[in-house]
Amino acid sequence: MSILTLDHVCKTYQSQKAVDDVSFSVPRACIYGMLGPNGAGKTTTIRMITGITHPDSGDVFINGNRTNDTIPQEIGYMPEERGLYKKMPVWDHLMYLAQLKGLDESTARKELKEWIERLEMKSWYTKKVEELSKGMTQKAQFIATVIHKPEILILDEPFSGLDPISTNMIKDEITRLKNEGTTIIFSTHRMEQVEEICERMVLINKGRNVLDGNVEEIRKAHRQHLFELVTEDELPRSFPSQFNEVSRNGRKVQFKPDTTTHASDLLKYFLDQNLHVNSFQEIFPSINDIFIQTVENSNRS
Amino acid sequence: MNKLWLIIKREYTTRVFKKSFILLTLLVPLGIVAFGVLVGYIMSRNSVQNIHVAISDPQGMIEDSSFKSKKDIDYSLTKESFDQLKTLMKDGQYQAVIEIAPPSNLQETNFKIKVNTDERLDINTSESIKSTISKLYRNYKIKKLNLSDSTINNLDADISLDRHGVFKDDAKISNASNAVGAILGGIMGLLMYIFVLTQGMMVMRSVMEEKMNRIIEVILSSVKPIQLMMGKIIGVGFVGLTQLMIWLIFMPLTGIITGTLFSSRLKPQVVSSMDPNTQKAMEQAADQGLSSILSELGHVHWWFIVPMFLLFFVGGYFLFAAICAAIGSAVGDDQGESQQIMMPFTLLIVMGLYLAMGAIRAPNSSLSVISSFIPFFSPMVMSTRLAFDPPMWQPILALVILILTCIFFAFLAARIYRTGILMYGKKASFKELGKWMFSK
Repeated sequence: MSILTLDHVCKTYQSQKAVDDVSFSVPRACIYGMLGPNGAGKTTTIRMITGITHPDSGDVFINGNRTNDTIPQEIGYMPEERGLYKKMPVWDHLMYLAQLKGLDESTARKELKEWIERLEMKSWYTKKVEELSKGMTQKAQFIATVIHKPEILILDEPFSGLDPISTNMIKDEITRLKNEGTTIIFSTHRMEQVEEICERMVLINKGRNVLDGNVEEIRKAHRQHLFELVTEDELPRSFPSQFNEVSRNGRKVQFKPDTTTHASDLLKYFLDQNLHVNSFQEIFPSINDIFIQTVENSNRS
Repeated sequence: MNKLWLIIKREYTTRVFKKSFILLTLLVPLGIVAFGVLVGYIMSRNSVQNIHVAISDPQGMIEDSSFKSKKDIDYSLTKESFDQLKTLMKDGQYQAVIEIAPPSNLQETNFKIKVNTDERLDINTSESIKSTISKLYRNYKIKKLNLSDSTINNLDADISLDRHGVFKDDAKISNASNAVGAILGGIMGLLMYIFVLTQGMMVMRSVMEEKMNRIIEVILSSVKPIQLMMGKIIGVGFVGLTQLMIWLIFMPLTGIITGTLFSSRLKPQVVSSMDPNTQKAMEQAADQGLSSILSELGHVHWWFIVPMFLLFFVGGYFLFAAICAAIGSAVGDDQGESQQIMMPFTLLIVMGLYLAMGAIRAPNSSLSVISSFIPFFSPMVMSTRLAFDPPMWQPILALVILILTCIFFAFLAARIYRTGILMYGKKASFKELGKWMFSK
């Protein structure tokens, strides 16, 4: 059963429709990408899931329970625009946020100690937030999000502003949490991250979900019949017209053959010409391409 | 409820245990003492121009023996005429020459005295010269009329009012009770004003800060907006109460310190420049004053005034803080704009202070009574009037009205707050604020 389901959720601010009928469901223990151009309604959607705002119509279900008008405690949310009280020491701050999430004081202290150990924060957890570097703040913010062991973790652009080392550290934590059974919802513009991390995704545009499903399946469904060959030898000047050469770069060439031509026909031609083939693969469209294409299509219609 | 408590605790402890709070709390009473000392010093130095003045008295109107030069301006009495003195003026020995002559008849009361000088005389100096010359003429007239000192004193009639209750047995209400009421009422009104304004602004800044550094989303994914708003208002309110308590303990101390420092130093000089009648009255008041004021303080209904004052404090603060929170949530980072929208409300509070100051002089005038029921004024005006023993139903009714208004405004503020706090970018117009108030 899905851990989170949105069923025809709508939200209007004054006269402007921020979210106009979004439905999707997120299976348990998966990393779920939420994509969409700026102003598509991602943040509003997340706010309705977290209970910060409430839908005008439609329902949000968490573990099968309707949570429209409550603040579900099984969620940990890290907003894109991070903020902590600047004047508060990290430790006090995280204790405060943990207790607001419903942890009692001793549990909060125990959990926090573990996290400080794990994320190598020992040297600076007594400092005030305003004295921290951006990466440190990010770590603190991450702990604030996960300290109460949420079943659902919602991360809005979690890697923005992080150096590669911190990025990896957070990535490892995400994977670890996922393996422990946490469901992670990822909101981002960075398409390569979706390809890399997410198993499933939903694409939101103009307040509607225009595409959702398994990331690999989506890529397969959007394949363009595009093939790439890299040869050992010089490439011939031209290829048969049905191969439809798209581009070439040194000894690398891409074809988009017509529908009657099969991949094996391409390979056979090369072998017949005695050209040594180093590699041969079908090019799946990147999520980036799919994103742009889908958004453009949905804007047109 | 538990979360509300957590928020209150955080709002309170982050403020109260801040160095600046501790410093401010301790320094403000000291600052007030320093201010008092400074004002006292300025008042006691009746500063006039440092000039030498020759009083040219060719006709011998004044007997040399009776003339004493004053401290501030250096006078010399001389029989030489102005023309003869001119050379001395040129040498710089005198900066001014005043020509006097005996009045032609003793009935004359208005004199034009010629002052020959190139200096520009400031107000203090002219006043000082005028009073000196006036005394010279007065003494001259007294001598010519053959009046003795005792005859002069016999002209005085000092009045003090001795109030007697007719149907009510409240003989203890004396003149001093009005003075005590005025001081106590004034202090309470002023404290109310200062606290309502500063604490309200603190709430607003804090709301704006949360909105600007975007922690608001993290907090709101744990608690309801109304909890956060209430927690903040209550927490900051407790900070105010803490400060108030500390000052209430400190203020009498500082009062005593300033009092002892200046009762000896300030009085003689200031008093000497006043006319003899006031001087005498003041001395009398000072004699009676302290003992009767102390006894009056014993008669004040502390058991009623103090809790009432605190209740009005809570009500007034809450009303203003709720409005501040709503405005802070609606405007975001624009300090200037927030001040602008605050302006009407701030003006109401300031007006309340003026009404309270009026209520010190006339606590039972219809203006004072009516304004002490109006919610934005009542915290200041009613707490001023409390010291004057108003009929008990008045503060209670005023308090009920205030509380109802608080509930109404808190309700509206919460509606603006929960929408405004999450809005970024576009500035909210008054029309939109209205929509937020009444939308679902």
